[in-house]
Amino acid sequence: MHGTIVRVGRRLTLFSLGIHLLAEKGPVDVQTHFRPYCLYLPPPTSLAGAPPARSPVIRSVAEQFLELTPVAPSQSADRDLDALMRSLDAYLAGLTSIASTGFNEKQRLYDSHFHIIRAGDNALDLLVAGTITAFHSFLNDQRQGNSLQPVEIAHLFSAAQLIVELLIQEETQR
Amino acid sequence: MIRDTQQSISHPLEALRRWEHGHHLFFVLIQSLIVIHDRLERALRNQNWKLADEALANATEVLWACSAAFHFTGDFTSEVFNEIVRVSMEPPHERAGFSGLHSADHTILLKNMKQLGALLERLPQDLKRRHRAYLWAIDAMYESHAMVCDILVGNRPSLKMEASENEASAPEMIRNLKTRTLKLAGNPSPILTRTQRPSMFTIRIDDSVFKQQPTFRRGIVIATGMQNQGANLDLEQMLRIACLDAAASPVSLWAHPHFAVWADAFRSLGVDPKKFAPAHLALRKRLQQSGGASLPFINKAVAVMNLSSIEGMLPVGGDDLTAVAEHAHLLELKCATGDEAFVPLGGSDEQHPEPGEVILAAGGLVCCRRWCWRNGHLSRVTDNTTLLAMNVDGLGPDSETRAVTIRDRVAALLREYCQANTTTALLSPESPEFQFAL
Repeated sequence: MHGTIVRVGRRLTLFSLGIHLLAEKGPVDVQTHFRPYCLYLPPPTSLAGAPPARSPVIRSVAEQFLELTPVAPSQSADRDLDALMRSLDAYLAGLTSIASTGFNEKQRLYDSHFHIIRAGDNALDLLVAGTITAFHSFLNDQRQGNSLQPVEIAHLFSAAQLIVELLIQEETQR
Repeated sequence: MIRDTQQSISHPLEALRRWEHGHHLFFVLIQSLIVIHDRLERALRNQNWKLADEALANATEVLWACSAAFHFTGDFTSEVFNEIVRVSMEPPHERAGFSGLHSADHTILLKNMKQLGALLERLPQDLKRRHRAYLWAIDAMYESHAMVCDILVGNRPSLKMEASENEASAPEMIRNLKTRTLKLAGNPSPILTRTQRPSMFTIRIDDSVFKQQPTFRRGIVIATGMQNQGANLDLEQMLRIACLDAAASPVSLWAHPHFAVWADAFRSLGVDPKKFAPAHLALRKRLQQSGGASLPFINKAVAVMNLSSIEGMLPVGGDDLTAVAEHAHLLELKCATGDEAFVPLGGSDEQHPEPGEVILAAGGLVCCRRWCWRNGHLSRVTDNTTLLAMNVDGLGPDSETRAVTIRDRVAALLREYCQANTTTALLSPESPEFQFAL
C-alpha cells in the first residue's frame, strides 16, 4: 500500500536525523520514542456535506472513546484506549490510500512530513478515526511532562469529545 | 493563554515526536472546523438560528483547543527547536520554505471561511455575542501561535519567509495572518486586545466629504470625566425657553439660509431632505409644528446638545466614546461602502447604509446615518456616559465662525452642568483629523 511505503520511508528519515544529531549522546532506542501510528485522514475537500460516521466499527470505537474520556484519563482508561487503538488499526488496515489526490507538490510534501495518509471511504468515519488516533497520542505524550495549564488540557479533552460526538450524530433540522 | 517559562521537553527525539503529534492534533482540529463551518454556513443560509448558534459555539470550543495545541506542540526549549526540530524542516530533509501554509486542510479552511464571512457580517442581533466569542477565540489562537514562535525563534523569520529573503519575524507574520483571518470571519472592526489597544483616539473627516461640501466645518468637543446623571433645573429651564422661542419665531425651513444650505447639500448627495431631514431642521420643524412643546429631558448632555442645536440653528450630535472604543479607535465621517452595520437608536434590527451615503463610522459599525440624520444605538449618550465627543456642524459661507461659536458654547455648558473637562478642535479641509489620548 502506498501509505505504508511513505510511512516507513519518512519515519526512517526522521529517525536517522535524530540519531545523527544524538550521535555524541549515546544510543537511542527509537522504538520507545515513536509509536507506529500514521494519521489517516480524508482529503479536506470531501468533508463538506459528508454524512455522519456510520461504519459499525467506528461508531463502536467512538462510543467507547466518549465513555473513556469524560475527564483526564486514569491509567486503567489508558489501557482501554490502547485496546481501542488496536480496533482502529484493524479498520485502517483495510482502507485504500488515495495518495493525496488533488494536492499540489508542496501540500503532498507537507502531508508526507507529518505522516498523513489520505484515504477514501466515508470522510467523517476517517475523521473520527483520525481524531481518536491524534488524541491517543496526545494522552500518551502529555504524560511525559508538559507545561500546559489545567484549563488548556481541559480545552483539548473537551474538543476531542465534542468533535467525536458531532461526527457520529445525524444533523437535525430544528 | 498563560504559559510557563519552563518547557517540559529537552530530549531531541521527544521534541520531534511532540512536534509531530502536536501537528496531528492540528490536522484533526482543522478538519473538524471545516465540518463545523460547513454546518454553520448551511444553518445561516437556511436562517436556522438555533443551529447556527450551536455551530458557532462548537467552532469556538475547537478554536480554544487549537490555542492549547499550539502550546502543547511547541512545549520544549528554543535550543532543541532550533538545533533539531527546525533543522528537520530545512534542506536537505525538506525543500526550502517549508511552511504550515502548505497544509491542504488549512487552505480549504480559509477558502470556506471566505464564503462564510459575508454571512457572519449580517448575523441577527441575538447571535452577535456568540460571534464575538468566536472572534475572540480566533484572536487567542493566533496569539498563542505567535507566543510559541516568539519563545522558540524570537525575531527570526519563518522558514518560508527566510526562503523568500523576507526579514519579517515569524510572530509578526502570524499577527498579519490573524488580521486577515479575523476579517474572513466577519470581524466588524479590529478587535483590540489589551496589549494592542491604542491609547490614542482619532476623529476624522474623509477627504471625499470635503470634496463634496468644501465649506463644511465640524467643531469637536471632547468631554472627559463627565457626570451625566440626574436632572438640572437651570438646564431644563433653558431648554424649555429655547423651545418656546423657536416656536414663537417661526422661519421658513426651506428658505432660511441655515436650513436651506443643508437641504441643498442633502439633495446634492442624492438624499431627499423632506424624507430624511438634517437633525436641526427636523428639530425646528417639530418645535414649530407643536407650538413649542418642550422636548423630553433625556439627560444633561442630550439637553446641552438640543439646546445648542436650537439656538445655533445647526446640527449638534454626540457619541459615547467609551462605547465606540470597544470597537474602534477611529470615528470617521466618510462615504459608506454599504457593508457597514447600523442599529438605530432605540431599535434592534440591523440595517446597512446605502453605498456612498455619508456616515459616521467606527470601524464597520455606523454611529450616525446620512451625515446628521439619525443616530445609532451603539454610541448613544446615556446617564452613565463619562467620555463624550460632541460635534457641531457648520455649512455655508459663515460655517467656521458659527461652528466655533456654538462649539465653545457646548464646551462651556458641559463644563458647567456636567462637571466635564473639555478639549475642542475644528475639522476642516486643511485639518481633517483630531487625535487625543483616551
